[in-house]
Amino acid sequence: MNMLRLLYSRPSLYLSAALVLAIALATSAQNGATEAPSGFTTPTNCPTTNLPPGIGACSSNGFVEPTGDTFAIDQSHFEEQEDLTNGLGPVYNDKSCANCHQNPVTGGISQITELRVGHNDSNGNFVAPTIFINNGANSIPNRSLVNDRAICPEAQERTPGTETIRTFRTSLNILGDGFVESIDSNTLFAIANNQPSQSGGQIAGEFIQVPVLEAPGNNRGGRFGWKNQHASLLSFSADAYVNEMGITSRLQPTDTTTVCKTTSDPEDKPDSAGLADIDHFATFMRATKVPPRDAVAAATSDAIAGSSLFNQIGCAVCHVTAITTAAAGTVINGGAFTVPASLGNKVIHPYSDFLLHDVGTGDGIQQNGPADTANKMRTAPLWGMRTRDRLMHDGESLLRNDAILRHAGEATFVINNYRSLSTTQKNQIISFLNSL
Amino acid sequence: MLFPIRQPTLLILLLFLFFGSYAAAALCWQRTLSPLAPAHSFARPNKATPQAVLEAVARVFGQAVAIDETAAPTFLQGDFNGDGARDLAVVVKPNPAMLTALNDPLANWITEDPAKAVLLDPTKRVQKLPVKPPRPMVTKDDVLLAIVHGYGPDGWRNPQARQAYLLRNSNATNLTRLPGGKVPRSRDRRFPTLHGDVIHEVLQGQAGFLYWAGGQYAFRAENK
Repeated sequence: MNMLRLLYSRPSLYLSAALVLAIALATSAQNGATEAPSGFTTPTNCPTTNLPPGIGACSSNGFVEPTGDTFAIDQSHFEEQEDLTNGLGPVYNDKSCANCHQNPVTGGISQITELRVGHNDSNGNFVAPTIFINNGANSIPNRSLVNDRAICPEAQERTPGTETIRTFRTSLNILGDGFVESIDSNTLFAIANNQPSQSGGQIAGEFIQVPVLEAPGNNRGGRFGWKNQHASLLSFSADAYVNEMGITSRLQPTDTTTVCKTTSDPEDKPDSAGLADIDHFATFMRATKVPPRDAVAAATSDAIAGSSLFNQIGCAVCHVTAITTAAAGTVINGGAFTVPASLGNKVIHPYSDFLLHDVGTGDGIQQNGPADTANKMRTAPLWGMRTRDRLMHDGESLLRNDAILRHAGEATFVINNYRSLSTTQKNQIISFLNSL
Repeated sequence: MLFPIRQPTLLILLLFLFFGSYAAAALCWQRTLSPLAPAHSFARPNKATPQAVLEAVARVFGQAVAIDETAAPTFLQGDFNGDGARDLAVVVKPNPAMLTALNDPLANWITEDPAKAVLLDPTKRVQKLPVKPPRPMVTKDDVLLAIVHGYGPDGWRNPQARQAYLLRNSNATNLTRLPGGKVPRSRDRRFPTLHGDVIHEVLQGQAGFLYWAGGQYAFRAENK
């Protein structure tokens, strides 16, 4: 009887979700879209023996590598430990991409968190801090990210007491991000436009346009990062390389500070194949498979029932179950990238709309979006969720139930639907989530 | 006649302006929780009645807890999580017959022990998350603090306001609401950023305050 009340109380929600899913599948079938290849196939250092269950030998999604490049070479660059000779620092957080993005394989999520700070001015607008270093002789202006490490004491950043907005964010999964990059921005925009009607006006994901660094003057729908600060994996690679490791590149040619700096910019130089590290990073991410589901867990009656409930109570409005990428040959990123056959016209199941929402967990930090995005976060993709023990953007929730209950704001009515479920039904939803 | 508008027409106009502005505010609040909303920016003042508090507790917890009538005060109102909506903090006792439901991992509330909150070090940037303690188990003799987060202009009174935290080991005395800006700050660089109001109290003989740490409630002793 409770389920009937749910259905009748939110008939448009249930019907809309089913309709969207049906249309997505029908469109995919009609256009010949196929499922994206899935698998945890990037074990660190690419061993070929003694692989644990569920972990495959290093292999890509079929992405055609640039001349002179291979998937193994790209992965090795992603795992490479940087040092002073490569241009590490002067300020940095860690020495390798894989140090933060690695669970259960290279490119996955991890429990490493990063701190961002800032403050609000007298008008309530977010202001990124200016950090003084070198005994006050130098400053790092307008930057919410505060690095933990430096190559010399003089360059060490310390958070000023004036920066009262402080937030922690966990590292993100990048497996399958090539497919996410290949989603047509119009698809994300359409999802955002449909959400109010699907939710009685309660949910309205925000779509923002962000710069594509490799195509100056061009913007594209943001989809990467907790604040959707990037749309291109190459731009993201360059941003992360200079901000997390202090290594400049052709797209980010200026170091955060010159205190103690001994190398010349850009520090990331092309190799014999003409590819810089940021090219290898982007190619690696584009060539990864999507996180696979646990097929055995997904086939249980509890997980199947949980999947239905997930849609019925409204979770799928934001945690979108299926998206089809743009057709192969589509030019994106301001003309800098063409969707290849390996990424084009593929159905992925990220369980995310890649939009910004206020669900009551916002961190107060504004990045590429307008002021109202300060308290919004990107819908966390739930694919691969069974590999995570610390949930939400700050890793503060350990139990699935607690993470669900922390949702508020736009998600209030959905979570109240969850609260109305029986214990059995809640367990079914959690069984479903644990199969992702 | 000095004013050409008749009194009934003026009354209708004033009523229209009053309810229209309230409806507009509610609609705007529902769409966007503004990060610019200062503490105590409640749409209208409202005095909590014991009956309203009872209804709110029952809405969230059912029969699992009962209001502790011996506590003074029994409840506090304030914006305890700094989102601009009025929240409710109520001193409650567990229903001994429903301890299993209270401690159910799938309960509709989040149970925490704020005195044992594990917090990240704000002076460090990159750090590995520390090990969090297991979910505390409520016992029949506990005195708890239930915090119901408000939703919309009606705050905790809104029937949709069901997000709740059940704080264990908060058998504290002298509970008072204190705006975060009025909390004496120490020179410790780890002094937390305070969102909205805090609950000043004396916990096991130690004066301090309960505050929202962004994802959980924590207790900080004074002069720390």
